[in-house]
Amino acid sequence: MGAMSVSRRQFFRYSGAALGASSLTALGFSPTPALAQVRPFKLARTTETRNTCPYCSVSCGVLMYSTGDRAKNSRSSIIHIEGDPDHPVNRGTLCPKGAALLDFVHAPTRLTYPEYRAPGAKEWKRVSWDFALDRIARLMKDDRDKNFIAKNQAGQTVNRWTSTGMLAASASSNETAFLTYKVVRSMGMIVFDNQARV
Amino acid sequence: MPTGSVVDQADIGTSASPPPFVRLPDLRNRFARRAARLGHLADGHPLGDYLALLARIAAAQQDALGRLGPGTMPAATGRTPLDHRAPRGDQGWLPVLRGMLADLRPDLTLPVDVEALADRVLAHDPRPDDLALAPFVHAALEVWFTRMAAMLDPGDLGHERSLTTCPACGALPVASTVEATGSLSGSRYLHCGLCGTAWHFLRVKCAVCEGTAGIAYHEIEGGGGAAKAETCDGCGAYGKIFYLARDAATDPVADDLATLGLDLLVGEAGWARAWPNPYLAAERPR
Repeated sequence: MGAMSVSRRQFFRYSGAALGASSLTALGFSPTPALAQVRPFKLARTTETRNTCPYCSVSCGVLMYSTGDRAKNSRSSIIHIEGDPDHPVNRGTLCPKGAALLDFVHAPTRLTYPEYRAPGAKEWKRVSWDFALDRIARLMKDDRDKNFIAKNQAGQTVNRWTSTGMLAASASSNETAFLTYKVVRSMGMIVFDNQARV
Repeated sequence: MPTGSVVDQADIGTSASPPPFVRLPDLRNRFARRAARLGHLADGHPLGDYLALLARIAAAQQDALGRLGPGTMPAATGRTPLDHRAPRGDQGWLPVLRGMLADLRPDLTLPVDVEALADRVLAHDPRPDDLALAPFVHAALEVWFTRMAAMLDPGDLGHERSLTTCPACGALPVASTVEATGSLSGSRYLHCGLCGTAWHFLRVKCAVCEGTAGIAYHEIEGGGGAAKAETCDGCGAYGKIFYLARDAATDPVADDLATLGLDLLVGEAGWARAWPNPYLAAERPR
């Protein structure tokens, strides 16, 4: 609940019973047809969720419309994405890439799990996150051990690792960007873009 | 939900500034527009006869608006320039009320203390005897407040970004709209149920308790997305939100009444209605 305190006594109700003693009936009209008309219908629920466009470092705000009631047996699905009119960066506008985000979300080729193509192999195959992370860590360690520059030619300590780079995501929060920076820079990595411009 | 709206060339760049905080009522067509909308909605509607009566009230309001003097501002309260709870500065609304009753429902008679009746109507706390008169009393007061609100300077109404009552008169909103034209596209405005002033309010934020968690949008299945109830799990209330991209002719007061079925379903599902529709007075739950 927000800052303003809200009491249920402040609320109103338009139920069948309430309409029985209302302006409608007092003026000689009947609520019965309206009550009967709505009876067979159910409610459909959507949500509107704020997020940040993942494409570039402008970081436009988006509103994502989803269906589904978040019950255990129902699956939510994003049905529409538009620019967030309240976001100070883009005020509801999106570039053509951002305007096509819905297709990006539902693309059949969208990567939703790690895949591995072994050296010399033609096919990508699905692998576990453990495999992928172990493999990345191994290759990073090997490359860093081989190419790490502790001192420059003048003998000054520089602790540089220039042979591996990293791109982070443009939708990162400040906190994510802080942690990413700490992890990457602490290994001496120089080639690093925290808000990827793609 | 506009599916790929294209920005007019004239609007490129203008969207870099925030949308206006308030939009004052337009006297030229304020009630004529509503009358036309109600007439359209009445056709084949289960409350068609009632909506048709309200269309005649709205037409009478537009007519009265053209003949109404500028009015006397209510006593200064320090709350809003036209505080709807402050003593009224004149009785300019009363001839409007008498005229409407004579033309539309001569069978209804006004009580001796009309000002007290007006106070109860403005407080949305009618007595059983007030229910038939309430729409007419509100209609006359609405003309009077609208006339005065139109003369305000938007700059005097502040730039507070989160107001749950009208910045001009302090009354409750009746519904909100998501705009669909030009640089306003996608912005949400709350619409005062009394003086017709619209003011900006953030999307996906409860316009009752100002919470932002647990907000959802409910519509009648297959409803087309033009009218939804914005429900808040934080305070248990809902208000209606109309998407003008789906129906540009929407009038907040008229469409709120015409979507009464949505109120019935959302009420059954457990949410309480935050804002009354002044043309459907009912005794408040005690």
